Amino acid sequence: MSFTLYDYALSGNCYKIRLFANILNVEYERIAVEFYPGAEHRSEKMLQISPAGTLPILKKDDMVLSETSAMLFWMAKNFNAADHWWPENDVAAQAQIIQWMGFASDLTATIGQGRLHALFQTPIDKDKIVKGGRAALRKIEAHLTEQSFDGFSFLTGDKPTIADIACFPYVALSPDVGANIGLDHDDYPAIRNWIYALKSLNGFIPMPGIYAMHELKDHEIDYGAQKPFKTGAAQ
Amino acid sequence: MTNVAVGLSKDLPNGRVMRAIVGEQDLVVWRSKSGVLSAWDNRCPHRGMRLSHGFVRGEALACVYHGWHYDKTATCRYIPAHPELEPPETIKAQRFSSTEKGGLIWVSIEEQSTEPSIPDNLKAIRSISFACPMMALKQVIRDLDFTLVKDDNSGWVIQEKSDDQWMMKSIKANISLHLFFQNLSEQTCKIHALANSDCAPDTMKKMSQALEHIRRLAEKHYEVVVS
Repeated sequence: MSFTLYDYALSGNCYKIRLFANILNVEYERIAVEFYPGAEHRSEKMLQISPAGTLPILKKDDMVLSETSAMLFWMAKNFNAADHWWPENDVAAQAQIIQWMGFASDLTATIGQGRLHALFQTPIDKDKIVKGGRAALRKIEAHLTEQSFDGFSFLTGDKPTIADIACFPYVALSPDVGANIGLDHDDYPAIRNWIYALKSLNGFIPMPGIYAMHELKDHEIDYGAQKPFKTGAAQ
Repeated sequence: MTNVAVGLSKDLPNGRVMRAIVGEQDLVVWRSKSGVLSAWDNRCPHRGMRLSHGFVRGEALACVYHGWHYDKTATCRYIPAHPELEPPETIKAQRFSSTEKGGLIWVSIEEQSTEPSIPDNLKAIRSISFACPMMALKQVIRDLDFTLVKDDNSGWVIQEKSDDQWMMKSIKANISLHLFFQNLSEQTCKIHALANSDCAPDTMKKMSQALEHIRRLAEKHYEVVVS
């Protein structure tokens, strides 16, 4: 196997690795860890594998990674991903990517924490989390809006990078934190367009809370095309 | 209220769905694969699911819950659990009138509506949401002492064309920013902003940043007022 992923299905951070592996068409060993309610990631057995006590864990022989940005970088290099995922000779682009990878940690600390609270009642300072989450969404919305003026669909250009993968899950999952607290996507058209662009990528897979788009499944029946609707039935 | 701007045309490409609020009315606004625009009550007649969570399948909008398909007349035409059934004509969502003009999507929830008044050939900048009452936002814009675009120090004039439509025009530079206000609730509102058509990407970015600046001022001002 190319690597082993210690994984939890509901985790947005674990999803980053599953998603990127699927986009790169890489097979790997997946070991499910009972994050809730067993807190197995903090068990003695798991701490011996990764003292960080977090998920996901990516293990390849003696290499153990606990930071998703390091995992995404390693995957891009190790599996010879197309150059746009980590532009080899463009230092400025790399700096932008690292910048947005850092921002992805802000998303985990705000929206990620708020979602954990919504799922498992973990104690949080809800006010602070919601404010931080909204500030993060506004920041990425403003940036994606400016990118669109240059005709770019992604965070650092016209093609996705590992920064887009890193930021995607907790932006897409933000409505799950709660209703009517400014974290749904109604206020963020540029985010909606970006999510659409990412969901349209070859190899996209869903996770609980991030759905595949039925409208992109062209193998299914386009009812409107196959059986024309009656017109003039209602005015 | 008549026609209310609910979004920018460029933010709703073919085959896409969004949610909008006009007055008390929750709406699904969607565009079919061929580009037909619709605005309906945001409620699937089957089980009440918000249709704005749904997806476009060709010329139909499908509810995400059980996949009931509604054609552009908002009439249910297909129920996946009963594929042989021709659904009764009476299963339909409530429709409202929607139109596009000047790069904006307009919805009217009233029977009578007047044609929206907007110059042609504007360039869409962005829709931006504010966590403050519209009155507070307007007051902050009226009181602004600023240069909207950094290298333009000539100042600005504001023309309040109507309650919902303002224009900010640079005194010297050939830049105008058109603001269309949309009230969402007592605490929230939106601005849909467009600029003159020859506006370059760099100027568009500065205008977007100016709107962020206005939002910081307005929300801070409102926090001070309420506390």
